[in-house]
Amino acid sequence: MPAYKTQKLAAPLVVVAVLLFFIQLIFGGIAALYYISPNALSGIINFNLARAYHLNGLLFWLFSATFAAVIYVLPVLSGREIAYPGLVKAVIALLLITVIGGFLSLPLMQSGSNIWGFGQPLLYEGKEYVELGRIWDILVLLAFALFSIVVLKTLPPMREWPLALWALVFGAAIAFVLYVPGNIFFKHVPTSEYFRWWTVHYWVEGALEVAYAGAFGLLLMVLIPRPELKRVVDKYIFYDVVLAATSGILGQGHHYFWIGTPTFWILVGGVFSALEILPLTLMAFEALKIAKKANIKFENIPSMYFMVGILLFGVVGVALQGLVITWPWTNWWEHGTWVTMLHAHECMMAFAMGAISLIYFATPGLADKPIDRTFTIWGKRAFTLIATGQIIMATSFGLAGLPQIFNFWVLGKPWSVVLDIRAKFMPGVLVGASLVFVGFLYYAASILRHMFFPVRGEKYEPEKAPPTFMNTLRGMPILIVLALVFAMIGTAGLWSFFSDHVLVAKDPTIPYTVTSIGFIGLAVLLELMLVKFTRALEYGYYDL
Amino acid sequence: MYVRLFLSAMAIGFLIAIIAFVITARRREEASPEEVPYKKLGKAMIIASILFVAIATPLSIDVVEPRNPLPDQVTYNGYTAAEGFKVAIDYNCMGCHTIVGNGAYYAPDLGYIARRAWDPEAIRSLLRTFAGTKHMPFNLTDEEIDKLTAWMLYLRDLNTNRWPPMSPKEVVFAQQAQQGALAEGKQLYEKYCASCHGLDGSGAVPGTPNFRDKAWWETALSTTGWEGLVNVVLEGKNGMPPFKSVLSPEQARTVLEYAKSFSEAGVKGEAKIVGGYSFEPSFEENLDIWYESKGAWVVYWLFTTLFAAALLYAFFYWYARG
Ligand code: HEC
Ligand code: HEC
Repeated sequence: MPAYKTQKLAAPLVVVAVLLFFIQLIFGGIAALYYISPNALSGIINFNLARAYHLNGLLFWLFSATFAAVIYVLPVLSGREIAYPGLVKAVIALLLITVIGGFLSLPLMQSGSNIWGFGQPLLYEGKEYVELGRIWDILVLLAFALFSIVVLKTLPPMREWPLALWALVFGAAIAFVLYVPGNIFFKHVPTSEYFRWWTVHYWVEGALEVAYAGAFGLLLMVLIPRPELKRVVDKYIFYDVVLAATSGILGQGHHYFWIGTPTFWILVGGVFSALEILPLTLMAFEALKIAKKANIKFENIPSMYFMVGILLFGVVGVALQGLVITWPWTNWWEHGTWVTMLHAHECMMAFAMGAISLIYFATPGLADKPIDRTFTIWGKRAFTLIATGQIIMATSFGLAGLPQIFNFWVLGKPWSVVLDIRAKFMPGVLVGASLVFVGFLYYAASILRHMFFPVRGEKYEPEKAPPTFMNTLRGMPILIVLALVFAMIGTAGLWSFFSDHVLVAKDPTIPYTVTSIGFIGLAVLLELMLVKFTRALEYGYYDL
Repeated sequence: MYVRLFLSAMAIGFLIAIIAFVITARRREEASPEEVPYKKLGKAMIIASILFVAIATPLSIDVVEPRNPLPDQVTYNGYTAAEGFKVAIDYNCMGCHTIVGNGAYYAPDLGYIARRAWDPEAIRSLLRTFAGTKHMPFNLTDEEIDKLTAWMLYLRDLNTNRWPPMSPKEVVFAQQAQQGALAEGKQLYEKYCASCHGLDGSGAVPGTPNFRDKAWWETALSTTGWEGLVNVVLEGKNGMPPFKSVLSPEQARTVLEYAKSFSEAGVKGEAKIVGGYSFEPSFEENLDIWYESKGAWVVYWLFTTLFAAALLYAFFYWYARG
């Protein structure tokens, strides 16, 4: 029952987002296969091609989901139909052309047959995260530009925007503008990498911290139109934007330690990226407080679950796992190893959960069908499986990175030794990945069922749950502090690679043990907090 | 020394923030709950951080006083590193290897490989060996391999603050050719050649070439070649006396390598240090670049400390008011 006709335009994008998520997972699996059986697909789908699909599948399903969410929410926010629905269709078409054309050109990298024009690679570009060639980048930007015309035309005049909307539009705009520098080809490697991080890092800062904060604020204000809530949200957004923008801009220096850029980044980037945990912790505490104030019963439980997921993956995966590896003296060891993948996979999961949450939020309305029992239960299962699987997988990567550091950096053993040792951790990766995949199936099934199949609408009745420790928010602040302690343990562990035990006596026991305690502790705490937080909100136990 | 800079900035920033927080306690209590807090400070912080990046960007991308070799300057067999980077983009090396630590972790870091192999011919032969195998299932033409060799030489020489960590054993391997040879070369050069070619290689008597000139070496190596040059040293040429009575052909080559190092940016007759287990020495190594000098460090430290104070103050403020 969408209140506005044009909200329906979002439907095809939701389906595209589900499909691209599928592609992402399949190619993630193929990349993993290389670590078990290196020659199986070599020459057919090379590792770098699989990885390019894995990354770009992710990026484009996030784009699709975000566009879908904006199309869905825009009329509600503005209180009128979307301006230029024809243009919206053009944007969707452009996005599809980009995905299809871009993805079809990627295999050319296997034979190196690119086309260069204006000093730029036109079909594809061999830089991680920004693999698409200039032609496709231009189409993406065109889509963004047309879409922003639609958005600005539909929204009420800027004077009337709440702060949350400012944050959303501003964050999104920054993320799109900074899409440009990272994509240009510079022949100097430090320059190329310097600007590539503008794009990749600011997606996190601009999109995750600023735009998502704004999006939540708006969602809350739409869900609970109470003036005192608006005040809380406004204030929290202001803090968030100031802290995220400043620590984010300077904190991106943690990408500039070893890429040929000046030494001052080691100080500035180190200090401010360590302080980057402030905005995210703040977000967590604010969310707790807002939840307590709002005290509502959620109707769309899957959407709420994934929203909690962003928050906690944000605090633990982005902020704390980021903190562990951001100190120059820990980064020195882990940079360029599988330890980085721990943070990367949890980070991206925070994004992904945001997009999934938005899709769950929009689907019942788009399909014009009520939220029912199956939708809710499948959604909850999807959440549990995806979150748990991702934590197991990411942690396995992190643990496997430790012997990589020791054997390759410290002992200087041949690369084949690294591959062999990391292969021992592949069972963990595969168990995690399989859980994520089953979770994805539940997610896709629940969305597609709603879109394409009849839904009778049996109501979901949560069972009566007693207010036990696992069902309430009790002890959350302590758990967050405990997580900080484990992050410090992880930091100490990586730092201890500098000790003489390791470098002189060649005994890696200390860093292995201490860092593992840090990583596993963080993983367990993350899982625990996810369960507590989601259940508490579902059952309505808001007290701390 | 670096950790001290870091921790002191954090600690003093924290202290300033606490003091500011205590001093402003009264004002905070009197403010109305409607007031959006520290609006001015927040705006100033955003502006300051953008300004910092605006200033740091040109310094970071080597447009003022480069700290790295530039891709058009590093060549191999007539091809530049810039051309090599294009080939690397075309085959997406970064989707399997890391470059300066970024990229995929399926294969080792390319800068690390280059530093370990060190010698251009060794790098070239690695590329020849691996291209077209199951590891790297694509064929590279000779031209592409030469271009990539130039690019990997350039990666080798990037000033990455000594990352990646490299075990002393590897450092020694990498430097043996270089350092050992250079030390021997230096000794021989100063004994036999400096009188005519100058201690710094720029030439002391008329007719001698300028060994500091990159272009001279490029032409000499592509026309006369290493063997030809060794021959000149052994047999002599015009005003240049023969040295075959005192130098073996290997020693002649060693002296010539040393003479060539005069033409290499940032090296000037000394072995380059790569890797090791610490990034600390890079602070000293870069002191002669003005934006990494001691004076500049005072500025960075002050900026970091004050900004950290502002950020923490904002955080406390939120905590007290929020
Ligand atoms: C499909 C993945 C893939 C791509 C693409 C790729 N490589 Fe490799 N490369 C490998 C693997 C795997 C190895 C083997 C590492 C080992 O076992 O030592 C390797 C080895 C090498 C080596 C020798 C490493 C050593 O151990 O000494 C060099 C040099 C190299 N690659 C350069 C390149 C360059 C330059 C490119 C881009 C043109 C490139 N590679 C693209 C996978 C790849
Ligand atoms: C007595 C002075 C003298 C001494 C000592 C001397 N050179 Fe020379 N060198 C010359 C002169 C003069 C030339 C220019 C020859 C010409 O091209 O006509 C020259 C040219 C060269 C060239 C260029 C050859 C070419 O093909 O253009 C090289 C290389 C060289 N010297 C290396 C050395 C080395 C190595 C030593 C020490 C072992 C050395 N020289 C010692 C005077 C000297």
